[in-house]
Amino acid sequence: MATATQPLQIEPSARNPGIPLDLGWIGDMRVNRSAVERRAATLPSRRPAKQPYQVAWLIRALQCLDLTTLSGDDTPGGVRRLCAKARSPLRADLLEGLGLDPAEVHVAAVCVYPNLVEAAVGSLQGSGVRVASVAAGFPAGQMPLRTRLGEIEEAVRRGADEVDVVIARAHVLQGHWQALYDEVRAFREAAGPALLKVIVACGELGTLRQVAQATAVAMMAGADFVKTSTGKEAVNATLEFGIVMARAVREYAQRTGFQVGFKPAGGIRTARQALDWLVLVKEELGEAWLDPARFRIGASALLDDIERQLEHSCHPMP
Amino acid sequence: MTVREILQTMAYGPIPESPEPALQWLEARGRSFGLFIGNRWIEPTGGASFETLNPATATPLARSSRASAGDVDAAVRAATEALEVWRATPGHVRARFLYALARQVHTHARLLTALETLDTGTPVRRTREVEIPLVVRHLLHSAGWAHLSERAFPHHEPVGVCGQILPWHFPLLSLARRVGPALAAGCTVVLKPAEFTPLGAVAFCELLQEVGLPPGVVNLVTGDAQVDEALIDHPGIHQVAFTGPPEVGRALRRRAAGTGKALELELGGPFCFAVFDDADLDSAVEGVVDAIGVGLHLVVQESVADRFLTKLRARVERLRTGDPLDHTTDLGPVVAPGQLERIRHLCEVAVREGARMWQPSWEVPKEGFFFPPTLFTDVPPSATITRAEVLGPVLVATTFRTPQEAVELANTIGCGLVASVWSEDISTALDVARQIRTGTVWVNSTNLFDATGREAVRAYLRPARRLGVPVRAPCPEGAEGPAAPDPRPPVEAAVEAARRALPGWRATSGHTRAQILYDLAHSLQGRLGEVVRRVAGMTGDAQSARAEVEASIRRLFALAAWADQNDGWVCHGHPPRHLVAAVPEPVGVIGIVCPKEVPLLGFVTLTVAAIAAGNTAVVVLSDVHPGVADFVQVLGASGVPAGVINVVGYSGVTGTPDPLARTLAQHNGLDAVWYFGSAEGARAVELACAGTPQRTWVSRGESWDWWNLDEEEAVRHATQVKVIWIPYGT
Repeated sequence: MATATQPLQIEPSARNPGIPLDLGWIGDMRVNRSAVERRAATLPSRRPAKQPYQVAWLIRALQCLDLTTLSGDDTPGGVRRLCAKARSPLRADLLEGLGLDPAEVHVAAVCVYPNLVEAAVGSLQGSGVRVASVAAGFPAGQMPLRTRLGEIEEAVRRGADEVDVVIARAHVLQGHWQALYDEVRAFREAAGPALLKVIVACGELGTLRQVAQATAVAMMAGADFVKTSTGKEAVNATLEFGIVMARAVREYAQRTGFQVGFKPAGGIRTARQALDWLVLVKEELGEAWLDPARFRIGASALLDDIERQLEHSCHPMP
Repeated sequence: MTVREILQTMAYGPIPESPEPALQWLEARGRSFGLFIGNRWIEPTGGASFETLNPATATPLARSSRASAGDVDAAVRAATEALEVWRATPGHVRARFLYALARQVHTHARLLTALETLDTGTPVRRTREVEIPLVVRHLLHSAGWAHLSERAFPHHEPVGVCGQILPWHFPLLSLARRVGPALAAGCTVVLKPAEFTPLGAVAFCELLQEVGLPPGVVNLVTGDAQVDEALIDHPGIHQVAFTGPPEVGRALRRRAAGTGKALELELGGPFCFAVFDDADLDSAVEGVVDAIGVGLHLVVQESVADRFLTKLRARVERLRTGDPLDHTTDLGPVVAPGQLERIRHLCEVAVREGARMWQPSWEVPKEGFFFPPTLFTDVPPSATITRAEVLGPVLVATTFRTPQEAVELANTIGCGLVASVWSEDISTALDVARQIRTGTVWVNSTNLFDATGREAVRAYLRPARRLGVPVRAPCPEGAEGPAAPDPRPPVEAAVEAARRALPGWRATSGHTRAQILYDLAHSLQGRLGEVVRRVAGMTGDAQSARAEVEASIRRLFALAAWADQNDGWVCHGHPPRHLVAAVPEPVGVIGIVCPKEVPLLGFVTLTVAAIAAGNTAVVVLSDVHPGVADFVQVLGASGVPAGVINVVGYSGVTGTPDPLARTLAQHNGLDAVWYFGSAEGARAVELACAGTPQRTWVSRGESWDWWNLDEEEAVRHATQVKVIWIPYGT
């Protein structure tokens, strides 16, 4: 029996307009690595292990998924196949067995290079799955600003609902917060109506404190989402980075009232890892963040494992 | 719940740890437990038993035996019989037993986790991920010491039969922290777990049986405070270890006074948690959550107090309380119903005294001994709760403006065993950590209990002491003459001078102190002939006078060396990137009553050991020891600041030092009293100090071999070791 439920929200109801750069706030930020590591170590033991909770959490992980392909050998055909998977990631009979409407259960977005946005847009028409494009000199951000802004504009023009942009790490490493702020502001303008997801590239920022600071500056400049990694850094989405960024998001919400979204990406391959990230978000940000309007997981191989786990949970081997 | 419903709430659902291993274990034993004496489970004489409850449900869990005095005697006798064999067992064999025991604990981790959680109400995340692994860790670490202790502590011997009275807070971990080092050192043990939480110890004794530990090496008696007392009073017990409330510890000191029993006390007290404006506030909030069950005194810098407390309230609002066997539970029940009443009362009084109370909007389960997390702010400085160890989820917040104020607040609150200091500035954190008077400081962390250091095993060893033959007949033990002056005024002045000199002297470096002491030794050496002549003139024995003066000078050089070598240690704890620094700190002002049999050598050994370690001293001296007078004379000229050594004299012909010793022991300006005199005098000193934090070191009328005494022993008594945990990483 299905109870009355609110439809799942994929797009934030209110965008973060940003605030003036607050250097006092940035300067006051402190992060203690060991304490963060101890906190991270406690998270996996809260991973739901019983049915139907685990199934529900895996479904939610799937609904928050930014199904991603960012390879040199991506082709329109390949992207179209991926989009088909994104629309209907699970067998309809399996979902009906769980009392869920198959039309409700799809991933949040497909994330591609700008060149493939049109292919994705064509395949996802009317599906509710959004199209995200990386931009701004992804993944290194080492292009002239004009080129990076042009890339964002181009991706949006081609139909991207969201742009996942990278920051110039040099601004963080040199402590040029004003430059970082101005740059993200410009990204936001270039993105126009598209959601701006700002990748701070944690693994290249040197310290956890700088991760917190970069995250805060990105939010002040109007990021709709903050995202851990490109997936191309040597160290990608760790739970420690996640805790630090989630806390920055929480602080920003508490001070400004705007709930910025959070997206871990890079190296998240298993259903267990996905559950750990949901636990992290629930613990640090609360249930309000556990929907695709405020939380995404960027991954390419994860969907297969979630599917495998769900099949296993719903039709356990005798 | 349907999947659809869960998708609306995103609740965790239950993540239960199965109680089955523990329930089966309990059922298989009829939920009824005897005493473990000489590797056999026996019924208590008289057959008395008592019930323990599962604090999360307030339902009966098991019946344990109430040991009679006869049972305690049988346990101590078993331990005494086992002692000769066990202490003679080679260290590597003892190590193998400890290693086997660690492996057994690891093998039975699920049973112990569930049992400990049922018995204590500690949330299972804590028992499974922290406590049980630490039990294994401590046993393995102790196995290491069993291998190494003979080499690390030459000329030491096990203290003997140890009575170990365990607390209800992390009982199994406390057990491992006590039993491991005791067994490593070659001691035998009679365990007495807390009345409300005996089951972990029972299961542990079964594991002992399985590894084939020789009979009597570890014995278990259970019951209430009367059993504690029978154990403390038993003449066969050589050392009593106790962890628990200060008032119980004080009573224990009184009972043990004059018996010659060594005491290893860990007395509780408020847990002070200091937060500076440059702390990682979110992590500090989690630090509070980690330790919230025992209650904390939060000392928060004014400029961040609002932000910190806002974050804390938001976090506490999201805390989960309930079934301790659920992995999502953050906060369990308190252990005993009586404790619940006490906490309730403390909170009521706090509100009546004007403190502002805050509790989260949710309610705790009605069944079981649950108390909601409670935060007090705007607490009047005089409120009862500002100095109370609450032992429940109660947070008392006060603010400070400067680091110095933070230190003063912490020391006024009177930290018990631990404090936590949160600041990202290492200079601030370490400076404050050094100044808070407590045994352990966790910088940017809480609840780190890794096994580290030599102190744990050294507590169960003592110097293999050869009793000496007095070189000269002791001075006459006269009765207190009727004309004996009131000892208080001179003591008062001496203590006052010593207190005044303390901050300056303790702040000098070991290097500086060593230099001064070398100078002192040098000037004494220069006056050697003169001093010997004077001493010989009194005693008429030139040969022994020369021997004593020369030995004193040698000792002075040795202690000068120690002043510069009493360094503590630094190691890496587990987990990685956790630096542990054991910092030796002076005890404070030490009152010293020197032995009469070797006046100069005894005086030099004790007084110089005290000041070498950074203490100041009030020394009780007979007026008949000319060598000592010479020594005192050269002090000033050698650069020992005024007030570092203060002498109070008594008539060596007609008097005894005991009235002065008693006055010293009753003086709250002293931090320790060392007494080397009669057995009665020693008892009086121990009794007088029992109700105070003062440490004692006494000889109980024995004549020690001062000629061959290891200087390190004296330096160790002059030193307290503060352990500072310093996690690092960027």
